[in-house]
Amino acid sequence: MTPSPTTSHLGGPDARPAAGAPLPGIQGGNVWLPARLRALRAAAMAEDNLFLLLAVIIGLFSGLSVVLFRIAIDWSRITLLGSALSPPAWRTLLVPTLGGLVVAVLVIKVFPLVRGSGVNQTKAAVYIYDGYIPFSTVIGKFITCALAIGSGQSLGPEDPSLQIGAGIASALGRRLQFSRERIRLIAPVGAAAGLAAAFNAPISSVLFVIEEVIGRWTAGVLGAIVLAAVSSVTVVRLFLGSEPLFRIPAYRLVHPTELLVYAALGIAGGLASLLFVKILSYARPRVRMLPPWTRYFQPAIAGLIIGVIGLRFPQVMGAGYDSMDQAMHNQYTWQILAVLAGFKILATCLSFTGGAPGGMFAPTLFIGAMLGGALGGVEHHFFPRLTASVGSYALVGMGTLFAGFLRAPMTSVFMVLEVSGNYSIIVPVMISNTIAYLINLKYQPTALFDLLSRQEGVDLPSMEELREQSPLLVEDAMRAPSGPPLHEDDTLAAAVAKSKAWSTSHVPVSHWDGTWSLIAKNVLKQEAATRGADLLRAILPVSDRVPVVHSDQPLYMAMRRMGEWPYLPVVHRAAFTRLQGTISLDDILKRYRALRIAD
Amino acid sequence: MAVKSVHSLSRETILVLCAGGLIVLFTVVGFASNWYRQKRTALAQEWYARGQADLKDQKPRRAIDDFRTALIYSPDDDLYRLHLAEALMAAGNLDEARTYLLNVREDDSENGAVNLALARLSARTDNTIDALRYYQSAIYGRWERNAEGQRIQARLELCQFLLSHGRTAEAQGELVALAGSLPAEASLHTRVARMFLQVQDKQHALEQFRDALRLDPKRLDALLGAGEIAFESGDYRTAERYLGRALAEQPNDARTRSQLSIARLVLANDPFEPRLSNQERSTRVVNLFDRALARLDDCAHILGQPVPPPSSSPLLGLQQLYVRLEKMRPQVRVSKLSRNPDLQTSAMALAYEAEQLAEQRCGSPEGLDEALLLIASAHKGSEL
Repeated sequence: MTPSPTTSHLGGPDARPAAGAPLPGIQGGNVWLPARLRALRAAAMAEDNLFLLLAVIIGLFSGLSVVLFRIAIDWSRITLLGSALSPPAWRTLLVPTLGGLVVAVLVIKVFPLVRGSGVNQTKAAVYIYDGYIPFSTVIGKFITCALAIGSGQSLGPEDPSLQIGAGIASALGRRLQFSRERIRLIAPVGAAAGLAAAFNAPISSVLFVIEEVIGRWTAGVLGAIVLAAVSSVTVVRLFLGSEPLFRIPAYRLVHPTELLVYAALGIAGGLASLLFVKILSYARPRVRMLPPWTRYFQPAIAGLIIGVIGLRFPQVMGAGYDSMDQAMHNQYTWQILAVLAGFKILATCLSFTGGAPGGMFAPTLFIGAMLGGALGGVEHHFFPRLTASVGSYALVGMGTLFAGFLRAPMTSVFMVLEVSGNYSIIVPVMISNTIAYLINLKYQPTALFDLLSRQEGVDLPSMEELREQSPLLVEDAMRAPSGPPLHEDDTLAAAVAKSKAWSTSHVPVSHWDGTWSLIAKNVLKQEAATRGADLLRAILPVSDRVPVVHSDQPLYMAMRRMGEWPYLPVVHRAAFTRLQGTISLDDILKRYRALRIAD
Repeated sequence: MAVKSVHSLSRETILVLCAGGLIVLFTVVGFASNWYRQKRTALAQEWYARGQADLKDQKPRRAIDDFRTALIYSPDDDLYRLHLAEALMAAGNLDEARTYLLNVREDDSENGAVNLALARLSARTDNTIDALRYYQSAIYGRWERNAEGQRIQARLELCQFLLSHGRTAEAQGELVALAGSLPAEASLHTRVARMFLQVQDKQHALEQFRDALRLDPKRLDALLGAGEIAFESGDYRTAERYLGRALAEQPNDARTRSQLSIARLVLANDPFEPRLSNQERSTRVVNLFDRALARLDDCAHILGQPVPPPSSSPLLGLQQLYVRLEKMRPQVRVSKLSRNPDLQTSAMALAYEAEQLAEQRCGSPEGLDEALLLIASAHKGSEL
């Protein structure tokens, strides 16, 4: 249930009480503070300021929740699988299997909404449910993900953290009875806070939410998102330290030819991410089509297979941050790294298609780190003098998979920069990420998050499609001027003569200040007949100026400005009195019709 | 106060509740994170202890896993990282150990312990250039605990490495630097002295043995070392002093006993000893000359060359010398020698020649013969 703006206490400017009327909160016996003081405070606390304050509160709650979430995951891992690097065989097989069973029961019976991607659920909250995320989802995600990841399912804590943040934000927004628009925007604010806390990286989290959840930069929400992300990261650093999730190796470009290997890493990352998405897109719908009773056993079967893999490669179990750290510090041979990348793709696909709750950020980073490390290891083996440490490749590989698999190119670049704290890595990262992104874009038409949402029967707006869309512009629909425009200093007689070149019923008139008017030809004729020597400006009221558009503006903007005008002048951006063309509603509609036929 | 539905609360009330909730949550998370940190530290220590035990029990493979597990819970602990490298080396995973240590070094290139471990690894793989570089970095690097002791240990290992690779000049330079910074520890002085001996720097070696003895006067290896150096340097008085003390510490040492008796024989018979009366010096010359003649006689008998030689047959080398000795023998009288120092020198030269020849033909001398050789070699070219 979402509150209506009409029921809001201070819900938006329209709902503000009239001057002199008692302010909400004062009536009803709230007597903690002197009434006058409360009234002053309530008056001062404008909606915008409150929204920013709420962003900080959301950040703090999200940060604290994510700290607890991380502790819970680690605690459950130590309790269930033991503290050893390689758990005993019986635990390796039994824990993921039984953990999968318990998680399945919890997901089906108690928390049905926790299944699926947190990013998409947050997007659904924004675009479908007016910012509503049930708080039970937050609790459900916390419990089931901690259990699933702790028992060895190959999933990560970032996506659940994002949803935990979004859920907290949604709950707080509703309790504070913001307007519908604000509540819609508040879920991404919480999402950014949750993700920032999980990654310990505020910039990339803000970028990700903008890139993948909101899809556009809006000043109204950007400040709140940044505040929330910064607050949550501050809390996490306070309790868990400021170190990133893995120790970052030192990076330096030993030789420019290394960039070729980074390009090769881009190709390998692109292909690996493609394989990853293809497996998910093939397997997930088929598993979902199985009889409902099998859902109780799907996570368990996935867990058992992961356990079998874990007998030889325990690194693939869980989120795998420790193994990423070890890969970045050359603790595996390139052969092992390559094998780990392959098995992690398999394990993650199993966990995700099996319906275990959890995210795919950490597995993506894991696969990228292993793949990058393997490629760096191969290069190091053959050209030891030409390469930096294998760890550098592992680091760049993380961003590469992120760009290819999650198709968030900006976030992927900034994430590597942010966690490494080394801007000299930007060239390899950009090369590698761009290649991986383009490969995935070419051979996988639908981005992962869109694919997942469509598999779940929801058609959420695709942020990538929005980004990739080239909107129709005014220049695509405008027509050239029929004749020279009139000028306000023309006499009426001269204007009548000039207007003959115009086939339209109205003729554009330019004014000295760069504004334009439209004058009907018949009116012009009538006026000219009585006072032909008078100047045109004498019959054009200042208040009756026509809106203008520029040729590079989107077509919808011309439509929005059209009003009752027969057409709009299209004027030059650097010379407002220069007419480039005209555009009418009919021109616009024709252009849209042509586009539809082409589609 | 009537209980209200959350939806009917004012914004201010909700914000106050939020503040309260934050305080509660901060407290809970504070306790939880504290417990979590302690738990991780305890696990790290537990696995580190297991690793050490496994390493001690010659189970390096298990130790590797143990240390790796410890590092999961305490990833920045240098001690754990070094022990992991040690376990890797013990397991023969030298490349892995090197890669691992190089990575640790990338984070902290001045870490003395890491540099020393790398130096040991390079030394083990005979990578001389890297070994020298890392030893130097270890010596001048940063140490968390007992920096001076660790630096000395690193320099000692460097010296040992240089000696084992025959780079004596460099080793000597390092030893001189090391000698200047050694703490008051007899064993260290003794060890350095032995290294000085390896580079034939007896003077510095003797100084180090003496330093060791100043700290521990009954230290047997220092007494023996100092005694031997003095003996080999011809300083038999000093040798007698040190060897005598060594024998007192270890009475059953036959070699020391033999060396001591030789030193005493030298001291008792050396005509070159200062402050001897002319009479005494001459007496010693006579004794040594006679001893040389007797040694030549014995040797000739062993070789089957009759002395004095029959007049008909051609003289062999030993016989020729015997003839010369016999010829000089009447001159070698205390009364004559006392008047003629040149005669003393000639007699001693001939006696030395005889002993040398006998040594060449009949093997190493013993007793007074050996003493005579030592006296002669110590005062070769000297005049009485």
